[in-house]
Amino acid sequence: MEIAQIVGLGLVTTIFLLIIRQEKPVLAVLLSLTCATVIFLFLIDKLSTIVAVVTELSHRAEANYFFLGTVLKILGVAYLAEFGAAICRDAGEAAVAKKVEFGAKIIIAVLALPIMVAILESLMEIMPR
Amino acid sequence: MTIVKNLLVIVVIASFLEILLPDSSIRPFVRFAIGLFVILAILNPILSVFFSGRAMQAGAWDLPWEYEESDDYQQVGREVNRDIREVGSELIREKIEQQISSTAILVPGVGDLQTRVIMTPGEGKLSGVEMVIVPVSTAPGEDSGTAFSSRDRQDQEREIIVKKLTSMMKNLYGVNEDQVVIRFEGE
Repeated sequence: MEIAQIVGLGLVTTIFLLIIRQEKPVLAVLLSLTCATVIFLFLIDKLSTIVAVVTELSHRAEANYFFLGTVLKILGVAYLAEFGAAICRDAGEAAVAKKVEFGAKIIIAVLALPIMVAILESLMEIMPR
Repeated sequence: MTIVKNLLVIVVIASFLEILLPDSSIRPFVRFAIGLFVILAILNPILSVFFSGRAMQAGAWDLPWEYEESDDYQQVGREVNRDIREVGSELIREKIEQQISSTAILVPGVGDLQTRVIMTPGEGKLSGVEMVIVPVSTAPGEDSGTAFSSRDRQDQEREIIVKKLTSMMKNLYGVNEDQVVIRFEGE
């Protein structure tokens, strides 16, 4: 019953946060960060299993390897940015959260840009001049 | 058939990974990037069929895995490496046997000997030494006592030889006492 442990940890942290945030907002942010880290470490095994299975499926199907590598990178960037932005938002810094999300968007665009350029170049190549 | 398989795999994996996406404003960006790969999977085979003479840039992003081939190469590499190590280990074993024989013969009381060295397979480490010694008397002509005292002296001499050789093996080759087996011819 891992989900029970995660939910339990989440509820306990929320109750502590409600109490601490009144007195020490800085400690509340640290507690929130710790809870996020513990849950992430708790799930890291399962996450690696998902990545391994998806990689194995791609190997077997001989799908192109740029696809999986890039998509997994994008997924990682998206999650990191989401966690970071959520913590910033919890601390009452919505502006910083927006900047983090903006950074993630730019990085995802940079990762996708070469593929987009390649597709457009190829399409331009076949168009009559 | 390959095109359909490739497309199917990409769409299924992309759909699966989309479930994992965080629910935030980044989501459309990620979906766009995944969509590009789906377009690439459809576009690249079509381009290669209709424009086989041209080198399209999209093709560079559609390289298949060379999983089995690379695995084969690694396997061949491992076999070659193992063969080299086995040959090297055999040469080392012969050299050590010669070294031990020529050193051990210097010990007083050892007339001749045959040495067999045992190496740990795959590691090339010395795991044991077996020696069969042909003894010679250290003081010929001095033995004038009874048969009983002569056997006693022989036992003492042999004990000294065993001690010296074991110590030598321990110091020179780092083997333990229990890894050295010393026998005398005729025993």
